[in-house]
Amino acid sequence: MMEIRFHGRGGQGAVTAAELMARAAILDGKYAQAFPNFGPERRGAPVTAFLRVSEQPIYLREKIESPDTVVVLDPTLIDLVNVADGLKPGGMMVMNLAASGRGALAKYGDQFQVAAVDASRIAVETIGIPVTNTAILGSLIKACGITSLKTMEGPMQRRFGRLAAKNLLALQRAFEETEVPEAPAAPSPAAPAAGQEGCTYAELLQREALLVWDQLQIGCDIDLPGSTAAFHTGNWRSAGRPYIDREKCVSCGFCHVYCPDLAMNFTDDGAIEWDHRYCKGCGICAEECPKGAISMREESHEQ
Amino acid sequence: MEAAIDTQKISMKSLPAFEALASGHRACQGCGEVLAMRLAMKALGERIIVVSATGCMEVITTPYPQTSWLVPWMHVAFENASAVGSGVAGALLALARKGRLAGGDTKIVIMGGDGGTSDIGMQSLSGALERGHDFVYLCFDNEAYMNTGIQRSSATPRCAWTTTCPLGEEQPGKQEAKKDLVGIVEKHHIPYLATATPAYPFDLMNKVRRGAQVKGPAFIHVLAPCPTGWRIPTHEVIKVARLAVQTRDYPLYEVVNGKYILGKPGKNVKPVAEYLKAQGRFKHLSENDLAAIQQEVDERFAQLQWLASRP
Repeated sequence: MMEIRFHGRGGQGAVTAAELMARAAILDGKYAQAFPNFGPERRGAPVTAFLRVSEQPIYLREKIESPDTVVVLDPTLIDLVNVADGLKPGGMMVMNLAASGRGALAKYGDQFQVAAVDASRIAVETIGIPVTNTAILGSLIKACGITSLKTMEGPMQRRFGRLAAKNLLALQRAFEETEVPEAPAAPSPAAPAAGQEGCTYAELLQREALLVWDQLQIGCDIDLPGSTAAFHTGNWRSAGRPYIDREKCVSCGFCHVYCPDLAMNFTDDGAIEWDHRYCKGCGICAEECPKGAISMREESHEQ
Repeated sequence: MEAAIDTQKISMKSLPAFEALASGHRACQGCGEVLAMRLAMKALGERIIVVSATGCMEVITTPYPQTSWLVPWMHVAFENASAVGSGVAGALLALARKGRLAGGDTKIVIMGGDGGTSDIGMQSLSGALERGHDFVYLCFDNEAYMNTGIQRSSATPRCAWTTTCPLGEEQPGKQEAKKDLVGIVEKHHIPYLATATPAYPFDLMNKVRRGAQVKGPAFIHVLAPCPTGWRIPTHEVIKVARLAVQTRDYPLYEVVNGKYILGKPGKNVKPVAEYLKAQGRFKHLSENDLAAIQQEVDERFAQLQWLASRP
């Protein structure tokens, strides 16, 4: 049995990718299951999806803790979540990495077999938008087999209708452009996974960790009001940040009123200040600014 | 005794600095519902106790052991938020009577989504409204069960796509009409009832504040656009909510002691197609569908005008 975990952001189609692959594997006569990690659907937040493929019927129904392969749809996730968590030594990582971002290869290269592809560029060039879920499947097929490009046509046609041709092209191109290196001869042992044991309360507040039943307080009371402030949602931004043109800004406050994340606030002297720690990059402020003083730009743009 | 709720009219100049929510909550990018909730809490101030039904707003504000709330807040099941709110209101009265609680005028705020209000929490809400406890009910209506994956609710509008009413050939989207929740609440003859949306933030805040000032139940129905479930780009959330009002699909009005007060009529009314075509969940609509919905919208609005014209 092969177990695969997908890492993406809400809205990028990680769940769809796992499902398409499962359907194709079933068409090949194998057994497969695809399912997301259960949780609220949140656009932009890191999410995981799971895929099992086997020659035999699959009776497991639980989350995949130690996958054979990990698929990363969004390069910004690599520094954000431990994508290699539980991955078997010498296991396969299929990563969406731009040519300039191949530093991550060094990070994982001596432990795992890392297949890299610039899926974002391929998606923009073929589909027109940076949605990488279909492109990355081409890389996964190149790296792990599982099914064939030919078998993918049916499920893709059914799922995407008239958009299927573009998505199939993305699949094909990613298959061709993916570089699969040799497996490391002697994979170094994986670092022990950071469990919740021994984690302080302050550390718990920093991370996306739900407690298990025997860690709950009676009544589930929380005596630290506003404690989510320690959790910075700014790293959900993946498509630019607001930039305030100080020449045009009159500090009218509409961006402050319309911000769902309290990321546009008045300073003590009445100016508007952007809070990078919490801004999720929705772009409402730029859309609603009556003076057109806010625009969404790439992260690297100098304020 | 000092009043729990400030009576000043809210404008940009008199915008309360108070926030009941901290940042770091886990709402989707561009969530219109958490924005509506933030604004409503701004209007209410700190002397409140919030009872929340299950729903998006509960899930995203309290990933235990964390919380975004800076005011007393409790989560109860979908079906009993109004019952628990009634109990808290009763407890405050009893404690005040026994002299064990100063400032017994703390306002009870009960909140739920469309699922927690018009589906599952309906009977406890009806009971609480009928018994006449002193509370404000905030219904944040995003027109489906969004946090579990966009399943239809009774508040999902006709023709809308959801994951449980997909676009089949026989039945494209939801076939049934949206439940008239505001109409049902109105028939309980409560002192204050209003509709609002975060696209008109000051209107929303002032309605919440007016509702909180009446003695007895007040109900605010808020249309809360959901970029994830409505299939709209995150930056267009406010624009789409504004279109709902401008096209009269979601008219803004108040019912004060039975008297309907309709919001100022817009200068140029837009066809409802503009509102619907901005959303991916309606992209399958044909010209015939649009015409039928336009007729429904016109009829509903004419009825509202008639109600508002009564002395």
